[in-house]
Amino acid sequence: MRQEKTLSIDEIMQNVDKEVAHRSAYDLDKTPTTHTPQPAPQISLEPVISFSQKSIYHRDEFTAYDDLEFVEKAFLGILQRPADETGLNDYVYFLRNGGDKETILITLLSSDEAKNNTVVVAGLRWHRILKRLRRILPNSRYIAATIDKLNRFLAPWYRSNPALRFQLSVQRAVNHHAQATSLYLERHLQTYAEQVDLQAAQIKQLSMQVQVNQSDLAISTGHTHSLLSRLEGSSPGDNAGPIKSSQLNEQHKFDAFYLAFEDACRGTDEETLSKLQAYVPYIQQVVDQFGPLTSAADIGCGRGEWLDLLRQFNIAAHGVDLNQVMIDHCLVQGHHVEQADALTWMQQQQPQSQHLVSSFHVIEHIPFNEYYLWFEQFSRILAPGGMLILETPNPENVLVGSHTFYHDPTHLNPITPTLLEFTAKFFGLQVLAIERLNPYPESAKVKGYDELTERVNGHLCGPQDFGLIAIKPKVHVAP
Amino acid sequence: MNIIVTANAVPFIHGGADYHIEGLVEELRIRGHMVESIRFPFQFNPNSEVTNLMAFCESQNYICPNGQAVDRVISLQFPAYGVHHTSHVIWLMHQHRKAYDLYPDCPTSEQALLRDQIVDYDNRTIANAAKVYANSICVSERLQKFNQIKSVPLYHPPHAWQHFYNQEAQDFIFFPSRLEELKRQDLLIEAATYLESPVKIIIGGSGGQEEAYQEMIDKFDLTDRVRLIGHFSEPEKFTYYAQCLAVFFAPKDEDYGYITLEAMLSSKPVITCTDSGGPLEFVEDQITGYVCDPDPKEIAQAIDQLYADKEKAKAMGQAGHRKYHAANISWDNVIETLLGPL
Repeated sequence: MRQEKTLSIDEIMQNVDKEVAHRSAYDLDKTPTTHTPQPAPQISLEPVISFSQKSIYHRDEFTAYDDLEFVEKAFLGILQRPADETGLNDYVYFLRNGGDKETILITLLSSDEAKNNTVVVAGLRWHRILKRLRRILPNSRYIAATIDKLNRFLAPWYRSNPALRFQLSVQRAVNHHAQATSLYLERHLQTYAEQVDLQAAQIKQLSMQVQVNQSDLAISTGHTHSLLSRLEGSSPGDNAGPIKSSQLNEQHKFDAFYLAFEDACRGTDEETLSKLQAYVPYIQQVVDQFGPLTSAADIGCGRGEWLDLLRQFNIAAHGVDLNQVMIDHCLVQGHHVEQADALTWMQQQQPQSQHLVSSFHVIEHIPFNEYYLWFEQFSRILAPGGMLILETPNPENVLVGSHTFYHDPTHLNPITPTLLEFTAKFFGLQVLAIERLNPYPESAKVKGYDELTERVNGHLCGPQDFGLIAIKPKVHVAP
Repeated sequence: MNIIVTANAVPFIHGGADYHIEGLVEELRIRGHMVESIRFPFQFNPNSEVTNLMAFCESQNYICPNGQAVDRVISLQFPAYGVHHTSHVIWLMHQHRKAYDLYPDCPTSEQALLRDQIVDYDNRTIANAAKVYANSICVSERLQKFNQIKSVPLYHPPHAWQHFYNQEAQDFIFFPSRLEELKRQDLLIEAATYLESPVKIIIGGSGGQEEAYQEMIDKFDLTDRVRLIGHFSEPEKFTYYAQCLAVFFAPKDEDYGYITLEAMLSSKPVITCTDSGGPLEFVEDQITGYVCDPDPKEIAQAIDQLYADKEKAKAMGQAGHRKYHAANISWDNVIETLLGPL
């Protein structure tokens, strides 16, 4: 906790302004509150004509339907039950071979089954007469022709009411249209939703670009400053070489990219800080040993999270980083930092001048010869009893070694715990611990406790980083 | 559905009512309804403007204007609820309060006449609606008391409710509201003179009492303590809410008051008063905030207690947040209710 201090109204208002600016800058990253398109309202068309079961029908209520549908309705209406398969097939066959609907109605009505139901169908009188005539009159071609003639002659009087048929077809058309419309609407909504998603993605990309540009600008500002200071301080014979603007330009671009990349992959400050908590006991050990005058150096200090933590122990550590933007960031936080090449900086330090030297996620960026030279310097500048803390990705985790390590284009080679431990011992340091840190969360693990599961979890979901903690013994023998 | 929403329009005077009306229209549209909002220009003076508008509203039949079938009418304000429709739902924001609870003790004959006309109008038109909902318990009770009409309270979320958030409390009390006598910023300003803790007071908003309140601050020599920040943007509002120690909201007889809900959405305790009306439906003394007598000393004590026990302040804020969610205050619920069977 920071010391208790009450803010003035102006400070409160400044804080609010800062937060508002911060939120608006990052607003684009938040998941937008999208309104998922509501499903199109179901168009429920109450059928204009609905076939219902009742006791009195008119012929037209059946004949308005055709084919299969007609037979189904006739069964439902007259026999008050769904058509059985044989009945359905036979009558449909009859209709399709020129049979008329009225004959089917009369046949069904005169069945024994229908008699129990006492269903009446009006409008069939003529057809009944016709049927009886055909049955009682002798079967001669002349009589058949006469009956047909009579039938045709009377047709206008008994023909179906066209209104019902018309309504039915309108109803079908409307239903069809409604279905087509809702299909059409759904498809269009889908297209719009896709377009919105696409645009959201574009906006996000643009905002990332803006961030890159911002970092670029910050770096350019840093370089401008250093150029200015070099120009101001330069004299003939100054060993600062000529500055090639094209090289500088390229460096700007890479730096800007890297910063944006780090920003994108970096956890929250809380996460970063909680990851460092594992080292608290070791810091305590150093502080207990060397007291308030503990001198510490952090190589590749980045945004200064480690410096923040040390500050809580009243250790004013010295941070070194190559990146001017990182340095500026730390300066604002009030840290003691300088932009320099790590090796050069260490070479300039007095022997045995540091009680605590640390470097988090840096050694995997440097070639082996430099790694070796760094260790030479570590063992030189550490005071007897001083502590070295190095953290790097843990390639024992298969996913780290094969995949996540390569997210960072500036990573060179993974360093194994074995190599790091050996190197420390080689340079005469006493290895206190290898801390394996930051395993995948429990939720990511395969469930179960058998040997195979544990081995799989160990290799795939185990600690993603490891830290070496070593002490320079009082009696130190350098190689 | 084809829906008509009726309400008032008071040119160039905007406030919570507009958010409410526009919010309802917007939420109906999002859910696929065809909505027309019809807003009648409302003038307080002279009295004939009020009676003319009443007569006009009552003459409006919205069953099938210009041959367009309307499935439902939702009316929100006086005298817009006078329009005629068979599926008419009233969701009452407020009646004409000058004829009721704000009716003067010694009215002129003109005021008395207007009141009789308004009471008559309300009795007649509100009773005609198929369903009557009220914006809050307070409005519902007033309708029962003055017109003997039953109504069901129906709450809705404040504007931009999704944007409220919470951060660690800083030592200030936030009071956003129009600077008007009824809102009683003076209670809080005076309370500042009794504070023992170093808590600051930030009062947001503009209004007719701005000068008077500033004079009060100067007179009590509170310029380091109390600040009238005037107009603030929406993002600023969310952050002031997020960072304050508590929210003060103690108007006189408020109908509903979004500020209570906004404070709850931001997980902050609310200090209100026993005669504040709407806020009392949500603020429970010692649980989601403090309910004080309208007495500056008592208010100062409440603020000092919040400062002294910040853990408790935080817990009260969280209790308020839970209470908000438990009350099912959502547009889904509002619209389902308003469009439900009659």
